[in-house]
Amino acid sequence: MTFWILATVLTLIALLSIGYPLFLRKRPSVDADSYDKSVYREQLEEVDRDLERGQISASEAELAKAEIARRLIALDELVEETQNSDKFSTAAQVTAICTFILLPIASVATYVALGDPQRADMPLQARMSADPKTQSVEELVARAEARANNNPNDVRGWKVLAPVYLRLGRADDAIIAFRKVISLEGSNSENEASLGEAITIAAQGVITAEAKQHFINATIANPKNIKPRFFLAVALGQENKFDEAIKAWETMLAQGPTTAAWYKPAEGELARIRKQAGQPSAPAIASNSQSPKLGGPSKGDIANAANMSAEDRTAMIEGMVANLASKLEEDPSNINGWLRIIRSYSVLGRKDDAIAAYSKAVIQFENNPGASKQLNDLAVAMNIQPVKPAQKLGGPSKGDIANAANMSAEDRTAMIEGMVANLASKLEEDPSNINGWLRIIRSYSVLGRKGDAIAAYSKAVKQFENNPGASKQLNDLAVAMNIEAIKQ
Amino acid sequence: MITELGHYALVLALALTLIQSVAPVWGARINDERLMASASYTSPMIFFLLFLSFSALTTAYVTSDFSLVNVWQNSHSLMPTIYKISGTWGNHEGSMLLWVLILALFAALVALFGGNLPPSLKANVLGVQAWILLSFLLFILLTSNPFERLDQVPFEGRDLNPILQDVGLAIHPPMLYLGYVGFSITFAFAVAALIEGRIDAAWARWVRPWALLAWCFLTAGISMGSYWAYYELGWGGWWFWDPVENSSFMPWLSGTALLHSALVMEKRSALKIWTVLLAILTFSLSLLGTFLVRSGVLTSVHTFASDPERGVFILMILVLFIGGSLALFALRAGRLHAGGIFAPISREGALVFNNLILSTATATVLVGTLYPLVLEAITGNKISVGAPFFNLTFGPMMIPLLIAVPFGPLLAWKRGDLYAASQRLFAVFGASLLVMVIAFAFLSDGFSLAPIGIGIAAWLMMGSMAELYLRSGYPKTGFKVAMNRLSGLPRTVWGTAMAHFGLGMSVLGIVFVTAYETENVSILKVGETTELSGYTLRLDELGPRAGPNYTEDIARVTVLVDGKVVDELVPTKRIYTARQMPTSESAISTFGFSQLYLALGEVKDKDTVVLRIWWKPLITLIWFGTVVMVFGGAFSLSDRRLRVGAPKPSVRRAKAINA
Repeated sequence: MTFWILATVLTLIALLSIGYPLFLRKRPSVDADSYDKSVYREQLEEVDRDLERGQISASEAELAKAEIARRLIALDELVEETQNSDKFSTAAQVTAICTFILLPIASVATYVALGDPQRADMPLQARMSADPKTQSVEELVARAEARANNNPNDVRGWKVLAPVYLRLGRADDAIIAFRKVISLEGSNSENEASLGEAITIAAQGVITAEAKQHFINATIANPKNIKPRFFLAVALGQENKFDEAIKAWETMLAQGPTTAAWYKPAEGELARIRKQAGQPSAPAIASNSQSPKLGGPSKGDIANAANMSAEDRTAMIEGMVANLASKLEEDPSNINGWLRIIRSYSVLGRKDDAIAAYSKAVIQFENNPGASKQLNDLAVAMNIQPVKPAQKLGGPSKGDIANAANMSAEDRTAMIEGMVANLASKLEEDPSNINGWLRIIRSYSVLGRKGDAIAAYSKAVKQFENNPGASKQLNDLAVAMNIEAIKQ
Repeated sequence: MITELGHYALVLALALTLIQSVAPVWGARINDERLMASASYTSPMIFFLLFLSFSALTTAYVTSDFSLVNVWQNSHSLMPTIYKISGTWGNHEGSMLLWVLILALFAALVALFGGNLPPSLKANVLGVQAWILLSFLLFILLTSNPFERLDQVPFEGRDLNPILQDVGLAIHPPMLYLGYVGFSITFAFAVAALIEGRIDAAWARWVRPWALLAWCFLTAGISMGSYWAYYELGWGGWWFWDPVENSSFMPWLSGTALLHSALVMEKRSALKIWTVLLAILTFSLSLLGTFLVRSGVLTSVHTFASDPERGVFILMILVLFIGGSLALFALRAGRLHAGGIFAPISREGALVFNNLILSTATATVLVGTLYPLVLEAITGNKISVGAPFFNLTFGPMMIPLLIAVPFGPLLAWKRGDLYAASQRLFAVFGASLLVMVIAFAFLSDGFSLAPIGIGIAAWLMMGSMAELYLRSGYPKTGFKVAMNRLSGLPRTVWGTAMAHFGLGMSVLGIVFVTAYETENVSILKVGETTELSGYTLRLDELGPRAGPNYTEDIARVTVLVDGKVVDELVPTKRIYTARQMPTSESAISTFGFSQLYLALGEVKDKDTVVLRIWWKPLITLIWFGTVVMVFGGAFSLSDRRLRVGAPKPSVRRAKAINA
């Protein structure tokens, strides 16, 4: 509404600028030739001044004046009869009517076609400090990102972000975040394993040499950590080292416990490897379909991935591949896309499709030696060993946003929890931020963590006991959220 | 809401421009005072609306409102505020908005300060200006709307093109546009005069201040662009004959010619048809430049916003205005009366000489710029017409012009005496010859043309002062009288002398840096030194550093002369994180008018780096010269002669209306 009021004001001012000269303005009219005459009179005076200063000779001045005088005379011959035209002519009336009717209509119509009067401004600062409850997952992630980028040496920010990235399918970002965590916190089993996992997911389930190294580091740091061992066993399978793989699985299963979440998937893997070992001619890679974008990075994710039926898994990857294929049809200039699809086809065992895609890509990039080499390397590698994928840096794709939207309520809560933890630690450092307190109390209440909410509220009340404004805000919130301070 | 209001203001400006493109011209045709006067009120209003619109866009940039496609594509939340502001015009859409803002600004200035113009001329001028404005507003709204919004609003922008993240860019384009677009007013004057079918000495008088104003801005803009390219692109060159540079240089050349021919027209009522043609050509070249830069037909450092589809639209505008105005010219030129007669040796003759050379030079640059494009379009071969072509054609053409410059102001109007003028310049000639000989003796090793160039520069600088000296009458008159006379001289005389002197300074700088520049490319380890032209450079430190939206490798280099530290330089190589794009930030140390220029090459390993070092003698004179030229222009502009007052209404008339 404010927009339309201001727009109307603007339109009225604009109309005034045309209405004033047409209706109201009164000005004594001047002969058209008097403008010319005043120029020539000025010129005559100039000649006189130059003569006075001795800059031109008397004869030159005479000649110049004669010439200017001739121009003045010529003017009189040229100028037509000026008529008194200061009346409200038909032309002016037509213009006025057209303007006053058409200008507002045309402006509003054009604007409505092009613009969107409902759209508010979205300055970044305001979006960053908006209520987390009202924001989308993507916005929350962006805020956490901004916080992490502003304090790049604060490991907590990255620790919150990294698993969230993985959950959102942003494996490349997750890799960066986990690397940051390792560089800030140092290498430990958990971090190394997580990084290896992220790399594996980015490589569409193929355990690359790099990922493998991280898993090895993780087992060295903590031989009891099961996650890296699980992946290492998968890697052995991918490398066609069936005997070693079988051994690895058997050792893991023997150590138990049978109730662990990973136990059943490991059994499944072992069974499959045994079957493959019996038919070594089958493409080894095809058997591995450790799905890339299945679920979260938490302890449960491996179980989830493995619990999925082989058909489901394949169907999902097929869907992703089909998606990629149609993207490439639109924009065939994307070498990374081609590399990825060739790799995916190979992994899925669709050798013919892989070859077809490869041939297409070769033609597409025949003038690009760099790309041709990459393609060639991939073609060679796909028959021998898994290949490290080209890394892509970039913002969220459409798919990422879709993923975020499809996030389950649990995932969303988990993410908010992470952020709340981050906020809590911030407040411990700087307890004077009333907005932070208000936000965290609200968040705890929303998450159902009443005890925490009350504890935070009590702390905040104490912190701001000498600040009546803040105390009132806290009190209001407490009433709204139905919490009471612990009496001390 | 600010954004949407800005969008609405833009649309409203379009509607009002539509009215202004009809009403005043119609009014002039049927001699209706009210309609004619309307333009004087709508023009400032259109400027106000566009200013609102531009401010709204700037606000969106400053607050990082990524819901605008334009902001998202060209900004980053971590960018320093000044680049957030300059980012507004560091892209296609924003710079087009700036373009129309300046178009509207000039129209508003004519509306507010053009009280001395006959109403019908003023109405026609503003009407024609509205036509140009209309076409570009349509262009913006139909193909390049900066207010387009995004549905999914990202949290981070894609960053401004790193080479544009520089203080130079904050000022250079607005300046350049003020010049470029400023010539639209002289164009509008020319077309208006053709529509009226009447052009005389008074017309030239009205046009000159506007031409001078635009010329000053264009000179400053080109100069700043040159300095920006010099230190930001890290190649150490100050002029590349890049098509984009050429497209701003061509209007400058023809605009300079226009300034001079308008002088003849005002004083002697001669060269009328030619002056009108120049006014049309100058803005046509500006439009051509806009087309070349904005359509993406060029591939060069400046093409930071290109889109072939938009190119077709601008091409249509180009054809419409250039074709239309030239057709009108062909139709009406016959009706214009030729003016005063003059002898070949005269002030007029000298200015015609100036015009001939400047327009030939413009044509040369035009051919050199367009030939590769035409050839590519026809045969598909990509060739580049670079510095060698221009040095061989443009260079020699300038020499006679530069030699002739000091003669011009000394020749009388109508019929001059070359012999007398030469006599008066005899001392200057001798002094220049002396400079040349000294240059030969001390600077040259072997035969070179450079001392001749230095002699010409000296001739220009001293020759342009000669007029002032001669007019003062010193020493015959005595010091006091001479000073009095000097201060009594019209400011245009001072302005002319200053501008010509500045030209001499630039020529001196160009000759020196071209002939005596030295270069050194060294691979240095930390602690090692290298020498160049008497300066010792020591690499003290090499390492990474993080900026707000980039990371960089820096080298700390100490400059020593005879073992004494005179300066410390820090050239860097940056990677802008958002675009993963590298830039080189050169480091420059100024000694007098000369500069030591350092650019960081490849960082070999932790403590080894390639350093490119140039010694550029007197290079800053190139830009100081242009600054002096601009001051000369501004000084001229302040002359009362260029500010003819509006005629006072006759008493009889005034009474008749009151009655």
